Parts: sequence; structure tokens; C-alpha cells
Amino acid sequence: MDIQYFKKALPIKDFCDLRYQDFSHTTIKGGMEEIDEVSIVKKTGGNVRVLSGGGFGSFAFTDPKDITMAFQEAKTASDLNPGKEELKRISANVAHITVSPSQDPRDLSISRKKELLEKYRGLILSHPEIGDLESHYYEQFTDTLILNNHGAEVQQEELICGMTFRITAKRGNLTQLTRLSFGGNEDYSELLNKEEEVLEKVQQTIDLLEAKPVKGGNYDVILDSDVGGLFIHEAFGHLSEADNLIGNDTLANTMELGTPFAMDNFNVLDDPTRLGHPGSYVYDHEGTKARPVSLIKDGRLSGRLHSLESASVMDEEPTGHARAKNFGFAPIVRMGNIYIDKGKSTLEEMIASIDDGLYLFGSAGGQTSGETFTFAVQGGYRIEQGEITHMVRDLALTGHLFTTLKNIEMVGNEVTFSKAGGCGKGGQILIQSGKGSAPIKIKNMGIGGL
Amino acid sequence: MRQLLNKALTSADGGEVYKRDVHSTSVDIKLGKLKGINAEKKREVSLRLTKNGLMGAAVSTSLEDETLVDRALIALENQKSDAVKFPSEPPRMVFSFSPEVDQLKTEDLTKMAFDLSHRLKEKAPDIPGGVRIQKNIKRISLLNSAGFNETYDHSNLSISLYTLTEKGFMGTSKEYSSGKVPEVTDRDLDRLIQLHRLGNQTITMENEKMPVVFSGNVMGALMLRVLGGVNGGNVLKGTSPLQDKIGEKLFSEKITIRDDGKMAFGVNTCLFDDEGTPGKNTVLYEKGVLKNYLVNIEQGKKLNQEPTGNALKRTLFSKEIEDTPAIFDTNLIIEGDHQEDELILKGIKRGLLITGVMGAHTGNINRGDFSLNISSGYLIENGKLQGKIKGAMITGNIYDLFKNVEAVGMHYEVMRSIFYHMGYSPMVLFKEASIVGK
Repeated sequence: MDIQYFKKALPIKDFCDLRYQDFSHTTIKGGMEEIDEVSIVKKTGGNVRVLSGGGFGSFAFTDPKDITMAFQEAKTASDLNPGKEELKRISANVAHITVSPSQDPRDLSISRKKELLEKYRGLILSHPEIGDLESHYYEQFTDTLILNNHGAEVQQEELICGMTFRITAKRGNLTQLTRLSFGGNEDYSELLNKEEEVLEKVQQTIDLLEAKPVKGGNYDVILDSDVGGLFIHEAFGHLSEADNLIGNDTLANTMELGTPFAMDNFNVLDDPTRLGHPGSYVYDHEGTKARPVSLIKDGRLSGRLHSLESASVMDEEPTGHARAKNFGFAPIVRMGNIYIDKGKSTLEEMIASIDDGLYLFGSAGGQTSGETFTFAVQGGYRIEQGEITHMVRDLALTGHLFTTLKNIEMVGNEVTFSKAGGCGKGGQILIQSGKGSAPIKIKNMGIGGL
Repeated sequence: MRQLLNKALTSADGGEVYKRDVHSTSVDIKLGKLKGINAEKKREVSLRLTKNGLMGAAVSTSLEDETLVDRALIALENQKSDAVKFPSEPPRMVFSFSPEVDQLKTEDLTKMAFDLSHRLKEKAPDIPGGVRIQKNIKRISLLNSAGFNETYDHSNLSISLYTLTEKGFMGTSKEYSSGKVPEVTDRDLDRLIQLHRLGNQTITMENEKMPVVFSGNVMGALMLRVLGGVNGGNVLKGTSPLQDKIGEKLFSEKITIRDDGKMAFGVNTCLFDDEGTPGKNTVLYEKGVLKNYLVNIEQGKKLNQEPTGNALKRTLFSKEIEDTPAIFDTNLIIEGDHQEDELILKGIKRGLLITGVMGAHTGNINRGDFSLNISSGYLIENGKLQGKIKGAMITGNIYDLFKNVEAVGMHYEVMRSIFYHMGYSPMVLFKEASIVGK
């Protein structure tokens, strides 16, 4: 990476920044029969932004020779925006961040990684009722240079590797699908010795074949840490991304700091500086150092996630949450590691408090649209008269954000983070997005059975 | 491209070089103010090699990438992927490119977005809203060792109009996507405003089975499941419920579904797919009878079917080249005994019109299951829209739902599948669906 070439190309006038990136992504995928896909994708390119008019203009490119044209195009775009916007705070950080995992996946051969995936696949497929399996090893490494014409010069390596499995059990026409993930950080050694977890998940998937479907309706529910993490990510996290509030005064009023959202001892944070999770990083893609943000404190809205632009417009401090999938996209505000902090209840107390409800485990994807959210879970258990009675299957949840937050009655005493991340926004799927939670009890939750 | 192919052939039996140059610009206006303009000019390159009956691929952003051949060979040696016979059939002409779209400059797109924003504002000064316009121009070239050497250009202009609720959340929306400049009619704007105003009257539903109309754009959530079923890869793996079902009547005779890669100026029209098979018009269901799967060259051989031109280098969540080609829709088209949209709605005593859903990517898609949050849905009573429903879901399986098609509308809308567009459908009335309410 020729840093001097890029520094020379940076215009002096207005606010201009540049992100140039070497991106590589290794994939090993296997179906029921064999490992049928191995790929090592390598891409290189840049993204420039100019703020000379009333808003940013950005331009992405893959040929470094296009850089001057890219700045011109970005300026033309910014100038088309009437007015003159100025950033109140600009990063001028200078840093070089490298990764140093205890076991670096880049030092290992493809065949060694394939061997490990094959080992877990063998364990899963040894059960006769496994009807389908998707197994996936991923490893993504980026070396990103972030420059701006106010002195920022951040070069940062980011590395994430992990394994994910989608396991389908089949009996006659009935199928049940679960997901299992390991890793989700830079250390390959965290993928080793997972045989016990694999076998437990296989057994859970098989057990779901015996589970009963649930009649759609409203139930008191307990969400496990994985589902709780998905809930707070989908239902609340996206609303805490402040770029959604720019130019939208009514939404900004709805999200006014101090507004009561939940019970007193309910706390939500986003912390990219917590190491070892999918959404852990040091600098964001504008060169701002990431910091933990308290989003809900004692039930009241206490903060939000910012880029330079959103912080400037709202006259708040940047938080280091502007990130992009890769150089092909302009950075937008994204969650790092969002989580519901621990409360005081034990899981046993939460179960005992429910007469007729559900304990739900394992996230299976979700989506949000403003006030409403929906997500699927892998399975659950029926709770009757304070006790778990039987397993249930085919479940999706839906709700209204503000009502659901107010319906949270108990929070568990231990936070667990999910090993797999992933979040879609603005056409960008970002795998480096983490989520976690303590188990939570929510009353009167909408459940759609199938 | 020739140089890269020649280099690759020194260590392989066969090869294919794919190059895609993309130039796109997007303009966003929210509440009358320009939010930002993003553009890109990027090159994507993919190399596929065959050797000793095996195949491997690698992706880059440059034809000069020195590591491409080595990476493709690593893939070839480590994956179990049978070599395909690269095609050499020259494709026929399709209309996939409009100079009118190509010539639109950033200034023109900005003016177009402001004009639409003003039109919406003039019609309903009290309703906040926004406009997003995206122009995309692609040049796709494919060269292989069997003699195929073709290039085509593709243009697309997508427009999204939306309103915001009093709290600032998404109200209603309307999308367009075409190879030409789409026409935004006054009728469309009036409809958008009408649906927005219905949002002022919210209705809570109980659990109920009732007739349901899916608007054209929302049909994408269901078509994602139709696609999972007819995907040749899923059929071969046994994860589609449609194994050995060709010729069986699985849907109502009132619906026909085809995938038309040759549709003039369609959202995904292509001269050839990403492994060189010419774009085709493939009937999937004819009057409810399953006619064909969508297959690539390798799957076609195994399923005894000609490749359908649906092998595309994208994934469900990304239009970038991430991997080898997989089966995706080109332009899915829904047809039937068309009836006027207004007549369909008027004939409903009690039912729902659904214009927005969430959760299209969740659940067992290939099996046809769906459990969708109705983010935008309206109760119909005695043929009239009554108000916007709140907090309800629709659940079921498409192989039950599509047996109950009652009517297919007239006005086509572009269908959305999560991030991307997948073809065109009019509104479709299903006799009965399960609504999960309060």
C-alpha cells in the first residue's frame, strides 16, 4: 500500500477523507456430501468522501489511478447539495493497529482448516436423522488505511474467523433447523476442541423433531442470551444509530435522551472495545477511536451511536461507530457489540414466575422496520405453572419496540455474547457485528407459530 | 482478459475469465433535503479453471492480479467440484441497456429526485417523506477456452418513494426498477398518500383466517420461497420439496410463474448468465403445474434439463462477486387470469391488503415456510380499506397458500427480495391465510 501516493492525492480544501483497503475473505463450505466450495477472494480498492457543500459526496473505486477523478466526482456530488455543512469535530488520530492472535489462521494451510471442518461435519453426520447440513468456515482479513486532510492517518488490520453450521434434522416430512457457531474473533484456537458443543447441538436438533408446534398468540416469554441479543440488536439497536435521526426531527424527538423506555434496572450498552467478539475493533472507518456507549441506563435513553456527521449535526461527541462492509461502500453508523447488561434474577426465578409461557433459545435471523420488529428462533420450551414441561418448535416473534421494552420484567444475572455476528443495513452485510444479553423475561410477546 | 486466460491455460485444462465493470450513483432526499450522493466505479474479475475433471474459481478487482491463477488452483485442489464443459453457443440479442439511463448525470438524477420530492409535497404538504434514486450501469464480458467471447451492457434505474409517520418511522413506500427510466404516475402518488393516511386509523387484529391480497412488491417474500423450491441445487441436495414433482399440479390453475432473462429492459435482464448460458424464458409453473427447475450447466446435466441461464455471481445478501455462480432469479414474472386491482379489492368482504412485510429471510425458505411480520397491511371490509393493522403476522407455507390463488391483478410492481429486486408481479389474492394477531 503506497501511503505517500494516497496522501499526495488528498485535496487540501474542504473536508476530504480516503479509505483504501486490501480485503481478503477465505471460505470453506460443505454440504451433506463433501466440502464443495473453497475460495480465497482478494479485492483492493478505495472510497473517498468530500464535504464541500450541504452534505457528503462519496466515490468508490478499484483502480488507484482513478483517485483524482474520485475526489472530483465526490466534490461535484457534495456541491450539488445546497448549503455548507461543517463538521464540528474531526478525527486527527495517527495510529497503526496490527492483529496478534494467539493462533493466527493466516499461518495455517487451507487443508488444515478443511480437516477441522471435516471433523465436526463427521460428528454431525454420524446421526442418521440429520437430513441436511450446511457447514462454513470463514476468515476475513482487512488492512485499511484511513486518511483525512485534517491529519488523520490510521492504518488498521482487522481479522475475524469462525465456523457456522446449519443443521437440519428430518423425520418423514418434518424437518427442524438449528444453527451453531464458534469463533467470531481473530483467534483460530477458539475453533478447536468443540466436539461436545457439536454433539449437544445435534441432540437438540433431533429433540426438536419430538417438539410440539405452538398456537400463535401472546405469551410471557424468556429469551436466552442469544435471542435476547438478537432482540436488542433488531428492536432497539438500529434506532440508536444516529444517522437515522439526521433530518428527521420527529424521530429525533421520539429518541430524545432521558426518555423512559424500560424498567429502572434495565441497561443496554454498545462496546466495540470489549475484546474477542465479532464487533470488536479499535478505530472506526473514519479514523475515530471507538468507545463504549451506554444506550439505556436505568431504563432511560442515555446515548446513541455516532459517525462524525451525525455527532456534528446533533452536537454530540463522535463514538467511533461509522463503519463499512468494505471499500465499496461509504461508512454508515453501525453497532459494535450491543448487549443487555446483567440484572439480578436467576434463570430459575424467571421460569418460576411464569404460569403459562415459553422459554426460547437460539436466534435464527430478524428484521426491523422502525417501531416494529420480527425475528425467528430455533426452538423453545413450554413453561406451565412455573416449570418447563415440553419442547416446542417453529417459532417467530413479533412486537412493537416501545411496548416490548416496557414489558421486560426480569433480567438475568449473567451476560453471554453470541459467537456469530452479522447485520444488514443500507445494502451492506457486516459480519463484524456482535450481540449479547443476559436472559430476559418479557410479558405478553407476540408469537407466530407455523 | 485474453492474457489472463492464456496464462491460466498454462496450468489448467480449461478456463473462463469474467469481468464486470460497474458504474453507479445513488441520490437520497429525505424531508426535502439532499442526504447524500454516493457513487462508484469498480471492476470485478473472476477466473474459473478446470483441470483433471475438477474446477476452482478465484475473485479479484484487477485482471493483473498475480495471485488469481494460484488461488483458483488452490480452490480446485481443495473442493469437490466437477469440471463443467464451458459453453460456446453465441447468445442472441436482448434489450438490457438504455442510453437514456446511461446519459443521466449526477445533476440529472438530483433534479429528478427533487422533482419527485416536490410532486409528493404538492399533493400532500402535511406528509413527510423521501426519495431515493439509484442508477447502475454494468458492462459484463466473458471469455472462455471453448471460444465464447461476448460482452453486453446493462442499465438500471431504481426509484423508491416513501412517507414517514408522525414519529418519524417508515409509513408507506413505492418502488420502481427498470432498464429504462420508470414512469412515476399521479395514480401511484395518490395511492401512496391514501395508504399513508390510512395509517392514522390503526386496527388490532385477533387470530383469524381470512382472504389476503399481497401487493406486487411484497410477492417477493413469497417468491423467494418459490425460488428455493425450483433451485436445481436444492432439488439435487433434497432440500427442496419439489424433487420428482415435474408435471404435478402444485399451485392453483389461476397462476403462472416464469423466469424471463430476456425481458426487454427488465431489472435483471441478461444476454448471458455468469457462466455464458444465454438468457432464457423458463416457465416454472404453468397454470399451477410445475414445469421446470432453474439449473446451471452442471445441475442441468444431472437433472436432464437444459441450463436455464440463472447461474449468477451474487448471494442473497450481496450483489458483489463473492463466490462461484449460484442459482438466482432473473426476472420472475407472475401471470394469471388478470383482473382489475380495484375489482379484486372491492370483492373482498373481510380481508387484508399487505404492502410491506419483514422477516422474508427467516425460517426454512427452501421448504416454503414463512412467518412474516406485516409491517404495512390494511384491513378491507366490504371492499373498502378501513385502516392500518398493527402488530400482526402472517404465517404458513407457500405450497398451501398458492393452492388458494383467487385472482391476479393488472398493475405490475417490481418485487423485492430483502436487499434486491427479483422481477415483477401484480397483486395476488389468496382465498385464505392465517393471520396471527393480538
